[in-house]
Amino acid sequence: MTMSIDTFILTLFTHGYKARIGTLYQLLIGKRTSSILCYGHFYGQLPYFGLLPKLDRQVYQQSVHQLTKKNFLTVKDEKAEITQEGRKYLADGDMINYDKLNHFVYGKSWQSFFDLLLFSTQVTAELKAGNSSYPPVENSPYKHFQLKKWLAHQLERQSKEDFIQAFSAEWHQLIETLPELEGDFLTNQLTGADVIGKTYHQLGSLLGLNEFELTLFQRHCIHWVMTIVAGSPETYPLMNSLYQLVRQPNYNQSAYQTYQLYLKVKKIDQLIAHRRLKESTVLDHLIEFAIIDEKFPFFDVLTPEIKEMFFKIEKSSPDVRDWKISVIQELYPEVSFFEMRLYQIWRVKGRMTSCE
Amino acid sequence: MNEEIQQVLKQRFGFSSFKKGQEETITKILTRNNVLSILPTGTGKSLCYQLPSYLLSGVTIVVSPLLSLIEDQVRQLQRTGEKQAVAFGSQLTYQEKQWVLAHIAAYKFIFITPESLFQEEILQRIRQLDVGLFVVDEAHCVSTWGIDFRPDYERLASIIQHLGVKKVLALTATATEVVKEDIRQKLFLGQEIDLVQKTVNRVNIFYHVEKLSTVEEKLSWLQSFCSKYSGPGLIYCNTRRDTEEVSLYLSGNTTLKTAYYHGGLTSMERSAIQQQFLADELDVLIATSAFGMGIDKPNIRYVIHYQLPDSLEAFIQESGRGGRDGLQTLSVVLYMAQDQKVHQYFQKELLKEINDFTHLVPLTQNNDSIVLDHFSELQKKWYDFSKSENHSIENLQEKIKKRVEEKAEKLARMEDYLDTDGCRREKILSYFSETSTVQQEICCDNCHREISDFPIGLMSPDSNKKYSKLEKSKEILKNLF
Repeated sequence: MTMSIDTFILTLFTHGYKARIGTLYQLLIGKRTSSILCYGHFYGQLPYFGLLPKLDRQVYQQSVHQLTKKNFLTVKDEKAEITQEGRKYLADGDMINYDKLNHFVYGKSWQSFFDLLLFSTQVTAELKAGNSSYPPVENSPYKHFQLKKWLAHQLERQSKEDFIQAFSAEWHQLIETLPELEGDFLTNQLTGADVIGKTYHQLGSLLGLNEFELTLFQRHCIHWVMTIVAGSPETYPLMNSLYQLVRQPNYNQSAYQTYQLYLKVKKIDQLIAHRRLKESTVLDHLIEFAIIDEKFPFFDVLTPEIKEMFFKIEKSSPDVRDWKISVIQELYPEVSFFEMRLYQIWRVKGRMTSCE
Repeated sequence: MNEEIQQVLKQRFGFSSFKKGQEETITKILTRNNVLSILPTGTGKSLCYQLPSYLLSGVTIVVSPLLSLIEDQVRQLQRTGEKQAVAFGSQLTYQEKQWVLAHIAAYKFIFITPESLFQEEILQRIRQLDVGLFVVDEAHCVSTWGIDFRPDYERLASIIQHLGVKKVLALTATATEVVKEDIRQKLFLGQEIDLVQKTVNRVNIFYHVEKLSTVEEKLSWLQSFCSKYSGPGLIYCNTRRDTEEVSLYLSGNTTLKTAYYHGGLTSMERSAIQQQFLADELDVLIATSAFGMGIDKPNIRYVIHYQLPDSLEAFIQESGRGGRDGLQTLSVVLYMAQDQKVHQYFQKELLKEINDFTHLVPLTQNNDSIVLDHFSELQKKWYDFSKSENHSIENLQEKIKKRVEEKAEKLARMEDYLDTDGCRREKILSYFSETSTVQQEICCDNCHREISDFPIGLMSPDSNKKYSKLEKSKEILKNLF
């Protein structure tokens, strides 16, 4: 089975919950609001945040319509749920693997990182071959400057031979770590000295992948490399230093400032006064960091009393993802939306770590 | 002077002699100010500005019509070891542009599209430079790509004046008398110019036209032709989608190594495909007009036009990519009657666009931004053009209509070439006001009706087979390091 946009959308419902169709669309095109980030967090779909920025709403709706017509999805009140037929259809198909794709974390930097990795590999290979006149794979003057500076820095610290040896060793280590297909897919794109890389479209055609599968697979491979390189700077010091050159945070600067200030003052009213922002904006910023930051201090807000109250609610309504503030406030008028959101995020994080 | 020129030729470029027209152009631009050089494809026009740049002080600005061409030219210079060349255009991010502008004085060659050149921020920085030479590459664009596509090309003269540049070199491979006059008026503002012109005749190209009825017939013809004759070959298509479809078809139905190339690919992908083609790793490349200008591959054995080109100028430019090594080469146009409908459609669309434009412009008096939002990209360019050059809308409309008529005329001349029973080479030469002086042994299908095989080599049975799988990582890394 080839992966089409329809099939891909169907896979986004394999979590088994009834999930909002409109919000999923907003997530795929990368609309950044705290409620969309929460949706992504609740249903494990943050890795696809902003993956399809040009996805046309009509195309998306048509896909959902087709999936419903084939009885792979059921839709009620703008929420969709996968059917048994839908699950069977996916289980029967042999689909390309893309489970290391993480557009939420690497969406802004993967292309720059990979371009720089290809360019640095070419420069290193040409350095080994003793060539100084060759057409570079990269044409951006700024990236030329960036790489020249990086290379000069490396050559200050070690001999040319040691540098080439170290860079080559990192590549060998990387392909040992990756499965064969992913390793081959990446190295077939490399150029340098007597080697001319293939384009990713050429590789897609060799692997029999359609354009959509190719997009997913290319990003899966590169994001995987970035995860490895970012997580093991001691094993990949050179590649990690390239990553640091292009690394971009997956949050916006204003939200970051709010969060940093919160960590100092710990009081929402002071935070609002200092930041001179609307209360809702400040709370949205904190919700964003409650999702992103593994060390978010949930219990500043979720006091034992508040947690106890939410535990009680959970007994009658066990799926925290489905909670609505209006319903909760009918029974507990003192609960705020912010408290409910933090509790939801905390609980879902707990379930994810305990694999509940 | 001649000694100096020879020295740079040898030391910088590794050549010991010039191709036809190169030395004359170089000497003219070093000693005079306004030069128009019309040299046939394959004669190395780039050298005509690259070499004198090293003998002139200051920076050389090269205006080129296409970003892909600009990137090709920068790569070409990089192959000679030149590192102070920059491609300035929409491929750069905002930060990259800012970085280049801050360091612009460090470059010897600045390649730029006319659209970028007209941006005030860029102009301001360039104004502070000592511009030794201003080059208008593919100068026929001043005329053939005029107002309907690139209004900015027509405004280059004002920039040249504004920058106070002394030396201007216009280069092209094809220019009829009308186009030459157009260039003289629009680019050199009617001043005296030095002209270097060599014949457009490419004696080693055999011209052939294949009339077919359907797309399926075209594909089937390509399948049997490309399987029989040895490449490398180049197939030009009018659209990006066609390049992908033809490439897919040939790769699926032959053992050939094929690739497609168009402006929709990333810069890195285009670079990889160029390198593969230059290194003879591909049998056939299927491309739009984005490929070609500035790419110097000597051994292309055939150039096929999958659809009819829109003018003889375009045809000569593109078919002229073949046989730069001087060996026998083939040009084929696959023609079916419906092909011209695409060009006619574009002409109608253009007229429709100018009509809509004329209706929208009066509304801009009241509320600029709302109406401007309704303009297409082209209409916005027309609007800016009419404002900056003080053209009335009627005047602009008249110019565009005239241009559409000219394009229809050019298409008709292309059709003449396809329909003629006489010598196709004569048809080309007469279009460019030249007459043939030598009877050629190998000329065109009409001159050699008895020929059953094309005069190029056959595919050898042990030629490389297409890639069937990915290469192994360890092997690649071993070759790299």
